[in-house]
Amino acid sequence: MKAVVFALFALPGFAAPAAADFSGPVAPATWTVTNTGILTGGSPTLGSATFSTTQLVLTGGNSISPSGDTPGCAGASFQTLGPCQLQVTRNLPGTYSFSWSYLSSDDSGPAGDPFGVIVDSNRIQLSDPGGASAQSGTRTFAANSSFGWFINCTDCIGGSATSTISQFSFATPVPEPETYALMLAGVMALATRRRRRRREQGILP
Amino acid sequence: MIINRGDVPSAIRAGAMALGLALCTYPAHARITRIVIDTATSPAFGGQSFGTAGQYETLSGRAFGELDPADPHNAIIQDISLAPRNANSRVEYMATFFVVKPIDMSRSSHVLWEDVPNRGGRITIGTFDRNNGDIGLSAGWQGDNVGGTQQVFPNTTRDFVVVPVAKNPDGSAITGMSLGRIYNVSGPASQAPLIYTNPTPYPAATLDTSKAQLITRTHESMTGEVTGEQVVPSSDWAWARCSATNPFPGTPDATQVCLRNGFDPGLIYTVVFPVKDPYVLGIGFAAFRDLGSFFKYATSDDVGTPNPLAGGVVASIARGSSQSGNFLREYIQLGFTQDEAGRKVHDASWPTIAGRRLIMNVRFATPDAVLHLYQAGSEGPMWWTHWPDTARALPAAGILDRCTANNSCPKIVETFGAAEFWDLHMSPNLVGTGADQDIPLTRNIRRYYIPSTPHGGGSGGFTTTPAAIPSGSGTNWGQCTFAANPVPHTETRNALTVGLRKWVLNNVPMVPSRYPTLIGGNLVAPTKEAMGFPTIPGLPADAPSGLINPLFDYDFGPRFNVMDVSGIVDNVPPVIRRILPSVVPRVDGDGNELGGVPVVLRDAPLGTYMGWNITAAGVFKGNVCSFTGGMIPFATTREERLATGDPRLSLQERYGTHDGYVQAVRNAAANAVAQGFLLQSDADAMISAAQASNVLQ
Repeated sequence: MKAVVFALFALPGFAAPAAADFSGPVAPATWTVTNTGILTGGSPTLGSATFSTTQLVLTGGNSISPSGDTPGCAGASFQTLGPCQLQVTRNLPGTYSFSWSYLSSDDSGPAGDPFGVIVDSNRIQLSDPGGASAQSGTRTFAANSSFGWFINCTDCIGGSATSTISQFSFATPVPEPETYALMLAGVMALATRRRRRRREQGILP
Repeated sequence: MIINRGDVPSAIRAGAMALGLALCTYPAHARITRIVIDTATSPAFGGQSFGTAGQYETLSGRAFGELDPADPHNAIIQDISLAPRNANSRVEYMATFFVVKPIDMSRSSHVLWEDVPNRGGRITIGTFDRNNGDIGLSAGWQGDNVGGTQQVFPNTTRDFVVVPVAKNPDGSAITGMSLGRIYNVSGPASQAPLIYTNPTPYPAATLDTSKAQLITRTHESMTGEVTGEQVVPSSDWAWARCSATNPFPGTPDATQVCLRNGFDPGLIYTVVFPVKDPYVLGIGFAAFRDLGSFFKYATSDDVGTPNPLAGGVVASIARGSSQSGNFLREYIQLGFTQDEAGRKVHDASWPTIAGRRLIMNVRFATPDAVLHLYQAGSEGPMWWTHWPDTARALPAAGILDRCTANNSCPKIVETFGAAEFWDLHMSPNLVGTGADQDIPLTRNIRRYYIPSTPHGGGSGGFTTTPAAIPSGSGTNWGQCTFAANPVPHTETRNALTVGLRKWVLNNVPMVPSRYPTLIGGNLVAPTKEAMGFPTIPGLPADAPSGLINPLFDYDFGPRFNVMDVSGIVDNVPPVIRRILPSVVPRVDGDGNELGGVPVVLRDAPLGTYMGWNITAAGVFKGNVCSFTGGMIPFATTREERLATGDPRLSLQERYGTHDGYVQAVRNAAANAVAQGFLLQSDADAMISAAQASNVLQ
């Protein structure tokens, strides 16, 4: 029985690791930084992500329009989430809390370079396209499989945006009482079956 | 910051003038063929000198134009194929105009504002524009020949267009049905059926009242439910002018309704009646286009009369407010951004306080309509970019579709405020008919929301003396309940004007758009709960729930082109299919709106500033007060507000003293200046006004 109990706490989610910054299970090296899409304009600058222990700075991509307002990202249009974005993701379920501050240098404002999160592969925009060039907030998201941030440069011209993530914390999922009960029932069933087998084998009286 | 001609690179000016000269030899297209200057005042404005432009002069005149009905630039005009033609197979029109220009055009900024007259009201560019050295052109477009557009000559104060009447191919009269309304009147005197402020453009085709229907109602709810409807027997009314001394049946008159028993102020009268001889009103779009093109590009007309602006226009900007702004939205959507020679007419377009469509390219159109019950104006795409009409299951479309296709789109600036959300169907412009997604703009569009403002902005200033209680907009609507909303647009528009001029002259992008969005959480359902509107003494407990002018999905019949708001209306009145969802801006704990551009009075408030008001009396009592905003002042002291149960902090609690309030104004102004939405000169004037005010004095 001691072995069973030990195994229970060794299961993911029961060790309850947490991080108050980018460390441990969410240390910088555990995140994947990707630039998606293809910048087609002149002098393309890919997005970048810079970690420290306490913060993450994301800078979106940008390029020079080939002519006028022609998009600098293939298949993109202004203010619509398109294929070109910087994203920083982590395949780890849990609860992610953070503060964010955002600054757009796009001459058409924040609508050009939305910032948001990717929760279980779904993009959720946090920056307000009709808001000021400088914005901020504090949010918490629960992810079942993966979590990340993005800056999408939509048409990828006119200037980029930068977001700074701070006050970051991570916690693994805490099972609901029903989950505990189910697992406990399973363990008890296993134990009963083992006891019965050992009795049949004459190991127990 | 003032922009003057020095900001226009000399090479651009020279290029523009060379282009203008070159165009004088451009082959003749259907267009303005002749201009007549009826009145020239030089110098104007009492000889005053403006900025570096010096003295100004004004020219009032008429332009004679002709259109090729087969040209794709004109073919969309409703019934143009049924209009009489001249010897050249062209359709003729005449438009009045009014030019305001520096006497010495070499001292001009070379920026032309082509202003859209509102219900015939002539636009004279103001001191701000004249100090910039700009040129003004008020160009006639509305041809329904009624009220302010009545075709009176000699004409000195109004601008309109004279358009032909369409006839059937056999020369017989075209007939149809029209609708007019009469309300809040009493007594034996006859009344004209109205569209908003003016009589219906078309007299009854027959005096036989059995061919018409006159109905009365005791009430119409905001959502279109009617109460106490009755049909007035045809024998009990007449098309006639009557009065106490000339009682029923009066003197026959196809423009007046005369009742046997007089008008009851407790009833709403709706008359549906046969009409004939429709004006080809869509020609007004072409007239505005061709006037703008002539004054921008031509050197002279066909008979050698020189264009007084020849070679002097580097950039032109179309500008319209309210009805006139809606004209511009329709004008762009129908493709009048390119003249018959294929040239882009305007470099920018600025529709302000305008979120709907104009009812002008429809047979028997009523361009004075304003989205009162049964009036069209929210059909087809009400948004700029290509976007599906999800709730009405209509094809994806956008106002800019046609000009995008031929590369003639002007830069767009739109400004509006709270009243446009509450009473003028602004919601779909931002979030579509589903009200569930923020519709993207383009880089050539700037949208500025001026929060907590009434239609066109208030009178400004800082005072704790409540303004007078306004009446609802429109003839006989009735008085509202709360004082007028003073939050102004003027100073914001001044700052944006400077930015727009730089955008069109020097391609310096304007300050980015600023408006409420769903993503930002500042657009919500129009209910007290969703908005977070406080419970304020004196307001109905659930206000402003139920006060939004609903977005009706009308069925105007099978010959109505819902996408282009064109065609023929067969269902008079239209059938209400359903009400579509709308959103409005969220508010803070005071009831003032969140988001949008920084506005000093909103950010240093003296009360709650609403985009809505409540009709106090008459047949519309309890309904929204016809796009008229309101204000509910804060109490002065804590004791006063506690005595009435007002949750909003008093002026003393907020600001302490008069100096504290002035400091709040100073801070709000500094913020607006820093963000590019207020000129320093206007900020200084506002701070001075706050210092001189009676706030906490």
